[in-house]
Parts: sequence; structure tokens; C-alpha cells
Amino acid sequence: MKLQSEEGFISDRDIMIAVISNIIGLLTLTLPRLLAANTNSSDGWLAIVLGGGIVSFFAYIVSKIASSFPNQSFFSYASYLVSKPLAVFFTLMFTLQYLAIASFQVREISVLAHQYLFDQTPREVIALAFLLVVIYAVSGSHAAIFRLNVLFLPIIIGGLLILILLPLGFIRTENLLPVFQTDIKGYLKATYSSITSFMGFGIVLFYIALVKSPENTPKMAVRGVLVITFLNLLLYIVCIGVLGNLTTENLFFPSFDLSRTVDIPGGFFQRFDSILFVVWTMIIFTTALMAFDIAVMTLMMVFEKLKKIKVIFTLSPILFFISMLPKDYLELTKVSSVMSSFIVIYLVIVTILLGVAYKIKGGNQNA
Amino acid sequence: MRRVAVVFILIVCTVFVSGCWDKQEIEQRAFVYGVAIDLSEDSSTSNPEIKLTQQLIVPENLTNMGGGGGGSGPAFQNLSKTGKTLIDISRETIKLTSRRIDVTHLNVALFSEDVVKEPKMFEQLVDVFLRERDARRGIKLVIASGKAEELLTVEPEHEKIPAEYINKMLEETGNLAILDIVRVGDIQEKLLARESFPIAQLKMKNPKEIIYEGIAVYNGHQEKVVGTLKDEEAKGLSFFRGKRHTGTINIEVYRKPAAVEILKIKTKVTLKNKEMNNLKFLVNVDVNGLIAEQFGTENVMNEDVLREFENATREKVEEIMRKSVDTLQKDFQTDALGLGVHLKKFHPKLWESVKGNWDYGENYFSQSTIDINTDVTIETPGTINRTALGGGTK
Amino acid sequence: MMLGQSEDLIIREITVGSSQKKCSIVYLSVLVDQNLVNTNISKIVEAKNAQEIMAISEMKNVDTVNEIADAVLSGNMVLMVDGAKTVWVMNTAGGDKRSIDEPQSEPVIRGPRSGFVESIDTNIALIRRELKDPNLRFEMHEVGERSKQKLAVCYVEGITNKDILDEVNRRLKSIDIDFAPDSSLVEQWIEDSFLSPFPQILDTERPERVIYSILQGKIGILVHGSPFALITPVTLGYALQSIDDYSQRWIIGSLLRLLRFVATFITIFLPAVYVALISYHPGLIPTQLAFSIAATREGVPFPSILEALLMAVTFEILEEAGIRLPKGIGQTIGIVGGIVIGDVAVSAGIVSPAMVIVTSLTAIASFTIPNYSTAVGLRVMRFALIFAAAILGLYGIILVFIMMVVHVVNLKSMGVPYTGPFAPYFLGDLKNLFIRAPIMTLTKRPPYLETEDTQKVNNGGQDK
Repeated sequence: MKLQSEEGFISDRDIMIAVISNIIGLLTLTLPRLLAANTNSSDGWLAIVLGGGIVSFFAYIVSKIASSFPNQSFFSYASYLVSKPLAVFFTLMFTLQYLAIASFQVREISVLAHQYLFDQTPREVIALAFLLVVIYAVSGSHAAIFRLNVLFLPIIIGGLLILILLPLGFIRTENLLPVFQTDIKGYLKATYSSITSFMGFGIVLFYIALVKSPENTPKMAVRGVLVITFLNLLLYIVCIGVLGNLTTENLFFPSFDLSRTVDIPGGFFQRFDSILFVVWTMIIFTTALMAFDIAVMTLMMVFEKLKKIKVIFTLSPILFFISMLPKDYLELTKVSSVMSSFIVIYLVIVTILLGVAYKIKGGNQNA
Repeated sequence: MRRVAVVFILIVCTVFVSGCWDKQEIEQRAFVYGVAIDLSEDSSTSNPEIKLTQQLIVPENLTNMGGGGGGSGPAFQNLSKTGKTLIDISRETIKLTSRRIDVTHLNVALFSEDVVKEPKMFEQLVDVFLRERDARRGIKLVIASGKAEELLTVEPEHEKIPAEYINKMLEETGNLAILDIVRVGDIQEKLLARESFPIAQLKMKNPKEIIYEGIAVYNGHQEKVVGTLKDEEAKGLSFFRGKRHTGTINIEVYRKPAAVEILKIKTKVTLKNKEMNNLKFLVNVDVNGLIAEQFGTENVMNEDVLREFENATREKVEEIMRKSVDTLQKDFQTDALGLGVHLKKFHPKLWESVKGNWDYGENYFSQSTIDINTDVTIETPGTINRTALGGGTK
Repeated sequence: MMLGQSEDLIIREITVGSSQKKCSIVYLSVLVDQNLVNTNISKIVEAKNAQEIMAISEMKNVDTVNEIADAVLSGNMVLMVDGAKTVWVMNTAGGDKRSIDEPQSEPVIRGPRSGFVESIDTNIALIRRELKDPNLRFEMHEVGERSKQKLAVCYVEGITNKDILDEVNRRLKSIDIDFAPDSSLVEQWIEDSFLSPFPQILDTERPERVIYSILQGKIGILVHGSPFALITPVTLGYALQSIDDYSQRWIIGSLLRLLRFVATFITIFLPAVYVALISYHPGLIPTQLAFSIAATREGVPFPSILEALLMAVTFEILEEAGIRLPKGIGQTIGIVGGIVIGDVAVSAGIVSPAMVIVTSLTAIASFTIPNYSTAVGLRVMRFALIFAAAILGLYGIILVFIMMVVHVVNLKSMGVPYTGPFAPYFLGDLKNLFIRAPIMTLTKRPPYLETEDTQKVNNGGQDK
């Protein structure tokens, strides 16, 4: 039926929301630790601002390119810009990359659950239960995924705001001072870390094809990145202010432990860390969902004849298998850092290549 | 529609295959409310063994619910065991109780003096409280004079659980002789930064009462408690650091005792020079108070009398502050005043050069001069002028 | 005749007035208004020519046998004149009807007292009488292969989106049943997803609710024989609204609505959260409460999951029994079920008092949901959540919650996303969702319906 048709149905704001929900994720949990490890006291805020700025710039370019090909998939405009074989390669690389991201999320949710909720429940079960819900969501329509984002966004933002506001009283200025005591190298490393945590903006490359009228989408994508920059900044400052630089450096998930410092006196839930666990599950869910969705989507761009449901059921066991590969926490951390470096480098390369090709060929001729 | 069915079947399968690993009904858990850590009797320096006493709650006896049965016995149960590590001991205790030990409601951890005076022991023990996911970061850490386990056997008048009694006592703020209570969450940063810090110390006065012994001082570099500030020395420390706690100090005005209640303390530290071997600190203390009790008969509405009160208070405050500074600098040689933190915050360059020998080795802290400048304002004389006219006509 | 031999079928032969023509009159005696038939007959007899007969009453011409049979079955009187090619059908429908009564299933404090009845004509009249809009349309369909019940699709032309209307009409045509004892059968035939526990079409007994909805751009469906009108498309938030929200002043209305949202949350989550907290995360309960719950559970033989299921099932049985029982005995069951079972079970140590509190709170909260079918759907979710909580604790609850959300965002009602106006339209409509903003500010029709006329207060093109 004509009403609310499936493609070309989402608005600019939906893209902004998707960008927000995709960027807030696991790395938001660990970002304060990564920053604290490389900077002194509260200097990491500069790295977040710098990282956010650089990423906004990239997000703008990427979505500018994508939005000048309205309602065309990544594969079709990449084929136009950089020839078909290269586009096939790019798209398949993205499939792999997003598959890896999704399985990383699936693995991390089990790590997180193990750290804060369970002792004995096998991580395979925790991961599998999560994966099943992801599969169920991916097999729905794209429109539904965006509606889901919109529904979850207030919960996610609200949860983060509570996480930021409640411990405000515990901030000690002695933890925040002195300022600017970090050397350049530290800043560079920290900025790099913060850039990796913002990489979720890559989804605009694929989702812009679904936007009804993408004129304002670049602006919205940038706005999404800026919202996250702001939230990350607050979260980081509260983290350092409450926990202190050295503690933050030595906690696995500092953002999460932040919630454990606060007792709500007399409340029904005395500890709100488990309540925030609810929020974090949603956060990780949206990231995993979109990553898996894009993996499926990119694969179907190249192999157009495949049926979606078959692709999903072929990819899911692979995804689960990958997620169970790393043996322990150390390996997982290594995998995570290798993966994020790869994502950064790959996205930059693709952006530059597409950008240059776009300049040369001068925009969209068959639109 | 078929995929929905497939997903559903998969989920049902996980449900039945999985079972419930972490499930443990609430009544089958043994809640630990307080723990006490002592050195075991047969422990030696080469082979230190610790003794962990866990105070478990017996819920049936705690509430009046449940109709008949229970209600007669004590609401708690103390279990002691010795061993190498806390977790090890704790696991051992399960055998005694047949229930799963649950530390989610753990509130107070008591350390005996001998434990904290053993170098490194304290931080090793604190580690488990931080690492354990179930434990809160708000667990209060206290030092106990003598045996820590004895404090958990106190029989207070109004409380059924000793640990709850201690917990409530620690939450009270009307005593100048104590500082902000140290919580596990705060201590991690200090231990990591090898900072020195004060920590409250309790003592069993009689089988029904526990009182504050004073403030133990932990030295970050020696990694042990080096001594305890008692009575007025402890109060003096409050004027350096305490923001939350208020209380009374006793003074003498016109040779008659009086008590001034301290309402607000505002402390500001400034560094006067940058000679590493003789750092000069100026500590400005603004004290606001009111007259709580007066044995004399002077009219406190009179300005001279008020000034006299203020002067007496100021002298007293400076005196006790001086006392605690002296003890800290000469006897303990440990910076529990937070001057190191001040340097780190406002003079990071200087701090870099002194931090290795701050209250250790060269001990720049002991070599520094600390000037105290106090300003006292009596805000109100309470609700009355005086209770008796007496001989004085003032 | 195809109606065969039936005692209630009356066929009378008369001669008409001056022309002396022979006529037959056919009707079903149980369906007609006898007075009307008699008057008609006497007028026909006196009539001088065809024109005068035409003037007698509401009348139309039909010419096939099937049509004649249908007309007779609908309570009409059929006049067949010897020699004439067509047959005249006169509307003489009558017979017994229930009088208009107060709605039983959706009581309100303040608001109209009239509810729909079984007769579709009365129901249409109820709507027509209140809504004197010339653009109000009733499209008649027929439902039931054999029962041939009348079904009316009502909407306001110029407001309702034509796409939705076409979709409704298309689906109504696909219905293939013998007889629709209630509009709920029609509902099940035309709803989007039959697997969903959420009702995608709302039923109501209240004419003003139908009017309010069709003015928003929704579509009402009336089925003959059922006092429940259907409203479509609906959204999740709409199912939780009551007309009472609008009859109170806005602050109170908003608070009541918020209260209802909270109660809905309790209905769905409370038992599950209780089970999760008791058997997985006692650290989340405030210390003192944890100890007293532990004390009360001492000696209870069942794990909390069984306890929760036991109580929840007991409650469902009580409620089901309450509906089936004659009204007089209902009270007794309430006392036996509530007090005796609850109290005795606790003192016998079979369930803990905390569980009884949780169950009764849940039960009471579920009655704040104004619509019965919504409430039943949500109660089913509750069981799913209890199971999830028993297996994976809080984590299980979150996963099931996410699944519910995934299901809801994929759900559509007549092609309109079920989650509107939460998503995708986010802000525009929220002032009438969680809260009920002052009536003066509610000037827009819901955007998710994509209505043709968006402004609620229409000045008819005159001065602004």
C-alpha cells in the first residue's frame, strides 16, 4: 500500500537519532579509561572535543557524498564513482567489518553481564539469548529499526543523564585539577582513542539511501555526532571528578562503575547500577542491531538475488562463532583495538577515495 | 510468520537447555552485613594468616514477622575462619552455613590495628572489596583498636545488629573528632596515588557501647597506619580537612567553661614559597559557630563578651590545630592534612619534584612550616542571653 | 419462493383500490412492525394508482428474486403487483430492540451515559445525532455468507486518509464467514497480525469515542448485532486513553493518564521484577526490605517463580470465574478468592505475604487499563516476563522487553505504524500522549494518520 511505504520513508531526524544510538555503545563505557590512561587529571576533555570535531568533519563529507545520490544504495553510487569491481570490494569489506562489530557487541554484552550480574551462567547462553533478539529485530523492516531507535533514544539519553547527574555531588575538584599537564603525545593518543569511539557515524553511508529527502542529512549527521561529543564530555568529566584519574584508568568499565558509587537512599532500588545495566543493554542492542542490519544489507547489495531471511540465518551462526573466538579478556581487548584501528583507517580511505572521485566526476548525473 | 515460529522455538529451546545457573532464592542466601579482619593468633611475619569474621543476618529474628517460631534468638551470627585470602575464607564459611554468602548488603568493614600496621596488608585486603562485583563501592572502612571481631559482638541498646549500630554511628555527623568516613570507592584513588589519608578508628568501651578512639593516619608510602590522633588532635585535623562534620569544642571564658558549637569550617591553604626543603604553608581557617553552653553568667549580647568568646575559641582552635600538626609532622611524619593534594592541584611542577620524598624518605612534609591563621565568628548566642544574673554586672 | 415453508412467512393477496389490480404482500411476521404493515396495507388498498402507492412510505424497486428474498429477510414488506415487472419493497422493519443503556465494559465518571446497542440502525442514529457534519459518511457492507448482517464503515470525508479507507474496504471484502456473532470476529479477520497479543483494532461501546476517533481521521466500523464498534487504525498510546481524560481539567487529566501509564508498567513488569530481584539480585533491594522479605520467605516451600506463577494463575482463574458467574455470586467469589485464599495461603506458609502484595497490586493495576482487550494482551506478556525473569533474571526481563519493543515497532494497524505517535513522529503529538495538554492547544489531528485536513478547529475558510 502507498501509506508509509518501506523505502524512502525516514526523515533527517531519524538519521541523527540513528547516528546517536549507534555511536553510544561499548566504547562509551571504556572511553574514560582509554583517555585517562594517556592524559593527566581531566585533560582528556580536549581529546574528546578534538575527536568529536574531526569526526564531525568526516561525518559531514561522508553524508554529503551519500546524500548527493538520493535513494541510491552505497553499492550503486560507489560503482558509479570508483568502478564496479572496487565497489564490490568496498561493500564486501563493509560486510565483514560490520559483522565483526556486531559479534564484538554480542561478546561484550556477555562480558558485561558476567561482570555485573551473573557468576555462573555460561557466556554462550547470555550471548545467544542476546543474538536471538537481534536476529528477530533484523528480520523486521528497516523502518521498524528506525522506529526502535526513536523509541529507545529517550531511555538511552535519560539513562545517561541520570548517570551523569546523580554522582554530581561526589565530584571532587582535586581530581579535576591541575589542567593542561599532558604532553602532546598523550593528547594525540587520547584523541585517536576518542576518534575510534566515534566511528559509529559510518552508518550514514548506507542509511541515507532510505531518507526521503536527504538535503539536510549532512547537517543532521553532524548534529548527531556533536550531541554524542557533548554527552561523552560530560560523562568523562564526571568520571574523572568522582573516581579520579588513576582509578578511572584502572577500571574495566569506568562509566559503569560510576553508577556503583552512588546509593539512592531509601529508594526502591538501592543500587542503580543494575538499572543502568538495562540502559546499557539497550545501547549495545541498538549498535549490534544496526551493525548486523548493515552487514546483511551490504551483502544483499552485491548479491541481489539472495533472500533476506536466508542471509540472516547464514550470517548469524558465523557471527556467533566469531564472537566466541577470543579466549579471555586480554584477547578481547586486543581484538577490539585492532578492530577499531582497522575501522578508522578503512573509513578514512573510503571517504577520501569517494571524495576525490566525487570531485572529479562532479556529483550525480543519473539522478 | 514461519520465521517468528522458528525464533520462538529457538528461544524456548534455550530456556529449557539453559536452566538457571545463578538462581538463588533470597532466603537461601546468607547476607553479610559487616566483616572484621584480624591477624590470626598463630600468624607470624613470615607467614601472615588473617582471621575473617563475618556477621551474617538471621532474618527471622530480625523482623517480627512470621508469626510463631523465631524471634527469640539473636538477629545475627558471627562466623570466624582463618586463612590466606579473604575470598578463600569466605568460601570456607559456606560450609558452615549451608547457604550462599551474599555480600551485596555489606556495609562496614573493620580492620584491627595489627592488620593495618602490617605494611601492605591493608591495600591487599581492600583489593577484594573493590574487585568483588557484588560489593558496593560505599562500604565503610574503619580501624578497630584491639580485636576487630570483638566490635561485632557489641550488644547495643536499640539495635539488633552490631554492624548496623556501627554503621549508624559512622553516619552521624555531629562529632568534630571524626572525619568523613572512608569508603572503599574513595580509597582506590588514594592507594593508587600513594597518598596518605586519615581513617576513623573505633574502640569498644564496654560490652554495650562503641566509641571513637580517634583518627588513624595511613601513610601512603609505608603502606601502613603509622599512628592514631586522639581527642583534641583528632578535632584539630577536622579543621584542616573536615567539611561535613561539625561539633562542639570546649573553651574557657572568664575562667568558666563554655562550649561553642562549630557550624561551618572553611579552610584555605596557600603556599608562600617554593623552597623544597622549607615550604611555607599558610592555612586560613574561617570558623562560624554559636554558643552552645555557658557556665558563666555574662551577658553574651554584650560586644566585649562576644569578642571574648571569639578570642577564646580562636585560641583553642589554633591550639588544637597546632597540636595535630605537630604530631603529624614530628611523630608520624605523615601528611594527613591534604597539603600534598594541594600541591598536586595548584603547583603541579613543584609537586613533580617533591612527590617522591613528600612524607617519606627526605620527608619534605615534616620540614615544611605550617602557619595557622584563624578567624572565628560567633553568629548567634543560642536562643537566650543568659540563664542566671549572678554577680557579674556585665 | 426460495424462502420455503416457514410459519412466520406471511403471504397475503389483496386487491388494490379502484383499479382492482391483484397484488401479493409478502413479509416475515416476526421482523416487521405490525402497525406499520397494517397502515401500509390499508393505504395500498385505498390507493388509486401507482403514484399514490409510492407516496406511502420509504420504498424502492427491485427486480430479481434474490433481492426480494433479501428484502424480506431484512424485515421489509414486499408488494408484488400483478402484471408489473418490478417489485416494490417497503421498509417496515420493526420488532423488539434493546433500549439504549449505559456501557457495561467501559464505565466513565463524567461523560455521556449512552452506549451502543445491537441494532445497527440505532447505532448509526446515535452517531448521526451527535455529529451533524454533512461530510459524515456511512458505507454499507454485508458480512456473513448466510447471516447477511449489515456492516457500516463510518468516517468523515475530507479528514480521513483515502488510502486507509481503501485498505479497510479491501480487507472487509475478504471476510468469509457464515455469521458474525460479534464485531470481534470482523476484527480478527481484518487485523494486520494475528500472532500479536496487542489489539490492532480497538473496540468501544461508547458512541462519543467513535465520533472523537473519526474526527481525528480514524475509521469506525459498526456491525449489526454487536454493541461494540471497532476503531481503526489505532496506536499503542491510544489504547491507553480514556474519554475521562478529556472531561477532566487538563492537569488532572494529564496526571490520570500518567498514572495509567505507570499502572500499565506495573501490570506488565512487577511480578517479573519481583522474581528477578528475589532469586537473582537481592542486592538491589534496600537492605532492610531485603531482610524482611527474606524473613517472610523463610519456610515457603516453593521457589519464587512457582510462587509467582501460582498466584498469577490463581488470579486469572478468579477473574475468569468472576465473568462467568451470575452477578449475585460475583461478590462471594471476590471474598472467597481475595480474602480467604490470600490470607489462608499466607498463614499456611504456602506463599509469602510479599508475593500476595505483588500479585494484588498487579491485579489492581491491570484494571486501570480502559480497554479490556488491551488489558488481556498485556496480561499475557506478564507471563512471558515471569519466565524470562526466572531464567535470566533482570537480563532476561530486558531481553523480553526489547523483543516486545521489536514486535511493536514491526506491528502496523491498517498500515499505520503501531508505535505512532512515539515513533516515527517523535515530538509533534506527544502533548496528547503522556499528558493531556489543555484542550485549547490540541488543534492538530494526529499526523501519523496523514489526514487530508490537519487542523482540528476548522473555521470553514472564514476569518482567521
